[in-house]
Amino acid sequence: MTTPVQDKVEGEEPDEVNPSEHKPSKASASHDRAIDRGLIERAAKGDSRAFRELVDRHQRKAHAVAYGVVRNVDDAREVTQDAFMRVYRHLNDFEGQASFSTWLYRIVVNLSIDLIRRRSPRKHLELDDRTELDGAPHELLPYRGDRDPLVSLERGRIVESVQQCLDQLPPYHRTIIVLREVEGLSYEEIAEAMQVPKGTVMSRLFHARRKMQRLLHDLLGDEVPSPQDDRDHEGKP
Amino acid sequence: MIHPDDLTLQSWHDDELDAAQRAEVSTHVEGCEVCAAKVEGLGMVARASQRWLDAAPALPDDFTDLLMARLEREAPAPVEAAAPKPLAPVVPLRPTVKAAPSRRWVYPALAAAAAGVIAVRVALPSRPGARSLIPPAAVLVGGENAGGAKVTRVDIPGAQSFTVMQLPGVRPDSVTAVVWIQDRDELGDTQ
Repeated sequence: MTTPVQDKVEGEEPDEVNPSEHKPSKASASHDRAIDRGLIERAAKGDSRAFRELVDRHQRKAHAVAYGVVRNVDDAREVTQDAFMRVYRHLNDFEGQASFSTWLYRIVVNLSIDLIRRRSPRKHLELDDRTELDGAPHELLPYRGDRDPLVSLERGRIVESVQQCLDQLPPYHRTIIVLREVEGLSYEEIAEAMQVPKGTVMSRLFHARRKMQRLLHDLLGDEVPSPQDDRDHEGKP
Repeated sequence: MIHPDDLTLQSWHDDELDAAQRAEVSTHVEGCEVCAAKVEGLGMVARASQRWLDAAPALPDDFTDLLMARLEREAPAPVEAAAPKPLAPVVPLRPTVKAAPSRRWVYPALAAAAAGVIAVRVALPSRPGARSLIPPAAVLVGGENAGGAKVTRVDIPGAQSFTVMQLPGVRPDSVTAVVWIQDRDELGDTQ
């Protein structure tokens, strides 16, 4: 049996996106880290060109995470800029063992959550998982079909639907979906970026995905297969 | 058939299992339609999310320029790490001259003599016009009172450096001087 990643590469439609294909290989990640470390060292000594290069290398990802969490273009741009300002002021605090991306993501996530809190001070952001699971399925939803239903859907419609799904998720679920599904971070990296235990990452990711599955079905209707009630599948013999 | 639980399936999908677990779950998923369908359901969420990002608005082209301009205005330099601060600015006692060829036996003697002079000069009232025994190339790194102690460091470029700590002596008019001599090699880039 091949890995899930390999499974999806075969027979894939040209415009399909492999969930892990954007994840760099270990060698590439190590090389990137070395480049980042070099730039950080130079920037910390006052080399503005090095800092500019660092910004150019990471701004798209930082902005994607910010946009995924705050869901507003202007707010995302503000958060991204503030995040790099904070990075600059604390270049000397960066510990080389961690990846710069993870450090940057942590800053972006914190600033994004802060901004949402400022905008909606009355809204409780840290909901109990049990509360927000009301109405959500209790298991992963299976898809049985010969073809990915998303392939036949208009791109614009998918985008709009995903946007609506994300709008309905609490910020910490949006954050985890974006970090994992969009940025391809490992559980360990997500835990570091969100400053929660790895077990919490797994649990939140699980709940967020289930909710996304349900919301996608509700929004896209028959074109996305109906969640099936597998009462016979309880993880038991 | 025992199915893996959903969290394990999720970890398999995300390639987060160790090799042994991964092989075990792979074998199961290959032969189990139920679990294969669940894994495919996870993949669909990932692909939908990725498409959403592809359509997300990009940052403006001048984002970096605007950021760098803001940095200029608001953050002229990164916050320095807690690097040891020098005791005081370096003050040449005399115009610096090129250091003589290294004669290692000479400098320890000069350094000790200079330290002694400093200590004595602190203890005694200075006399106008008194001759200094400090070598011409020596550089005095200024003193600073810290907890009653006066610390002075003398650098002799190309040779040695010594630190003199002057502490109030037992008698009111006396001073105890402690001299700490360092070889040039120990000083790194100290000048």
